[in-house]
Amino acid sequence: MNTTPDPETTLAAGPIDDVDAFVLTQIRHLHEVLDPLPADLTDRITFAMSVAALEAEVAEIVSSATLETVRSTQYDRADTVTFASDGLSVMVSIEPGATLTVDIAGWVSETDVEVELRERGRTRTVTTDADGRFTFAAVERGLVSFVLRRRADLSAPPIITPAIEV
Amino acid sequence: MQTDAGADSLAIRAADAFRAYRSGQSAAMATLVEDVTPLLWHLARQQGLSHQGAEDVVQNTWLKLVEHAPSIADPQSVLKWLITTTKRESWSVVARGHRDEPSPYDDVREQEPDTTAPSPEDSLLTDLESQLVWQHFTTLPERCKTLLRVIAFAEKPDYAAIAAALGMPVGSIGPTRGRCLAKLRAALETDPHWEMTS
Repeated sequence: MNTTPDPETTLAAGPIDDVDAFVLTQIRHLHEVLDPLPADLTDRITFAMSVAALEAEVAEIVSSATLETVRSTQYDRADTVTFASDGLSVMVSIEPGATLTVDIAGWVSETDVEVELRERGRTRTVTTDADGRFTFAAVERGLVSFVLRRRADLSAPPIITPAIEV
Repeated sequence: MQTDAGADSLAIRAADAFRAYRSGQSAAMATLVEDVTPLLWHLARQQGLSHQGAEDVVQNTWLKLVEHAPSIADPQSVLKWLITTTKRESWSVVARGHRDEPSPYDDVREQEPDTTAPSPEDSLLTDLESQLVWQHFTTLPERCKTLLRVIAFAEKPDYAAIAAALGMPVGSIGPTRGRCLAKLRAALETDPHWEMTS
C-alpha cells in the first residue's frame, strides 16, 4: 500500500483559495489593530526623504499663532506660522477657503525667492513679487511644506520648512 | 484606494510610483511611502525590534532609497530592494541590541516596557474566527510568522517574490500554499471550533 501524504503536505501543494485569502486578511487586520503603524510615521518619512533628496536646510518654526486652537474650534480666522533658516524668514497665513481647501498667503524676508508648495499629491511653484509676497489658492487641507530657493543662487541648498497642517 | 492597472500587485504599484519619482515627480514619493511602509513596519517588528527601533529602521530604509535611487537599475525591483534592506537593517539592529544588553546591575524598571510581539486584548478579538487565526498563528515557527505577516500586507501576485526577498526557498508560497500557510490551515482545520470550509 502506498503511504498517504500527511494533510499538511497535501495542503502545501494546493492552490491558495478563498479560505487562505480570508485567513491572510485576518492576519493583516489583527496586526493592524494589535501593532499599528505609528500614526504620523509616513508623514515623517516623506519629510525626511524630501530633506535628504534636496540636501536642504530645514527651517525652524519660530512662531505659530492659533495653529493648534483653530483645529479644535471653528473660528474663522487665519493661522500664521513663521519659519526661519539661514537668515531668511518666511511667514505664511492660512485662510479658510472652501470646505476642503484653504488659501495661503506668504511673505519672505528677501525678494526673488522661488517658493515651492508641497501638498500630498502634487507640488507647485511660484516666485515672490517685488515685496517678497506669494500666494497659493485652493490648497487641499492636510500636511504641506514649503521649499524655498534663492533665485540668485540656485546651486545653494534650498530651505525646506517642516510640514504644517493646513 | 488605487484603481489603476497595477492595483492588484503591490510590486507594480511601487514600481510605477518609483519610476514617477525618479522622473522628477517628487510627490510620487509620498504615494510609494504610504503604500509600502505598513509592510516594512510589520517586517521590522516581526524581527523583534522595539517600536523606536522599527521606526528608525523603516525610516533609514527609505533614506537609503533616496541615496541609492539612481543606482537601482530596474524600478520593478524596488519593493524587493526595500524588503531586503529593511530585513538587513533589522538584523543589524537586533545584533547590536544583543551586544548592548543591560548588565544585571541596571535597574530593570528603567528599561523600555515595549514588548516586541503584539499581545492581544481579549476585547480586540471579538469574533471566534479572529481568535482562532491569532491563536494558531502565534504557534507557527518564527520564519512562517514573518512570511505570513509580511505577505498579508501585499497582494497575491506578490507572494512568491516577497518570499524570495525574505530569503525563503522557491515554493514557500504562491501559486501554491506552501508550508507556512499549510501549517496554519492544517492547525485551523483540526481545531473543532473552526467552521470554515473551502
